[in-house]
Amino acid sequence: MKAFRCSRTGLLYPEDYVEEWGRKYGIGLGSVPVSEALVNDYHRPPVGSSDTGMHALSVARAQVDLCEVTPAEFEENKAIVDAEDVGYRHRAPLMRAKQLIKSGDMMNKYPASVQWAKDHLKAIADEKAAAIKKIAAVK
Amino acid sequence: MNVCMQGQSSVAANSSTDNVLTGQRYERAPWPALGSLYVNGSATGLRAELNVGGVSITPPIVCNIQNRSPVVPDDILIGNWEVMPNSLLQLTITNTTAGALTAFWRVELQEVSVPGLNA
Repeated sequence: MKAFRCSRTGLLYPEDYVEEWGRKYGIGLGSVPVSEALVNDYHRPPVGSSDTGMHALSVARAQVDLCEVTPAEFEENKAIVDAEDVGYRHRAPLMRAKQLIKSGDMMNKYPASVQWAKDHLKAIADEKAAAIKKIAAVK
Repeated sequence: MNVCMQGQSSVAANSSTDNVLTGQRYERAPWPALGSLYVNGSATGLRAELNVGGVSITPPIVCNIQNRSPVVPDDILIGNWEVMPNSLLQLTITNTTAGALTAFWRVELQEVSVPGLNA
């Protein structure tokens, strides 16, 4: 299937991304179709309270390229569309999780999918559980 | 004489900043002036509000999302607002989203001649 890939984050947008630019996608982003994916801005210190603080988010505004992907690949790297996530209720926690997991340079590594963030969160939780088990065994 | 203040401010999720012009050299206008306000956001969801000498110039208004320092004159929000000598400029930014965002702001003041008010 056809999809548009954000050249910065690797996230995939539906086939009608360019055709529906300014209607379903990219509202407020100008006339030229670019990626509306969110990226983390590590150049500035985190703001907010200790439990919710995070580096600021910004729009990638990167080039989008038409590509051929498998449905499974699309599903795995599908971007959350801006119009369906008002106020970043879904994306902000994921972006914050990514900030907690990796350093700035790793954040832009392809693929930056939702699944990728979830997998890494799970990996950290598993590692912690294993460490607790190990300590308990020593005791 | 023209003067300018420009900067970036991170705004935490679902919060407002204090006056982002606090501590700036021209936080209080040195002479009568006409001002211009420019604000860009790093992503959707920022609102800017300007008060000058206790007078509301803008209610919280939506900023564009160019994710860069403001370009003159493209990114102007409002121009030609009056500033009396020694009046306090207050620019506050509100973030309506669940994620932290960055506001890129610029305030320009152009001195005008008002008999009896100029030093």
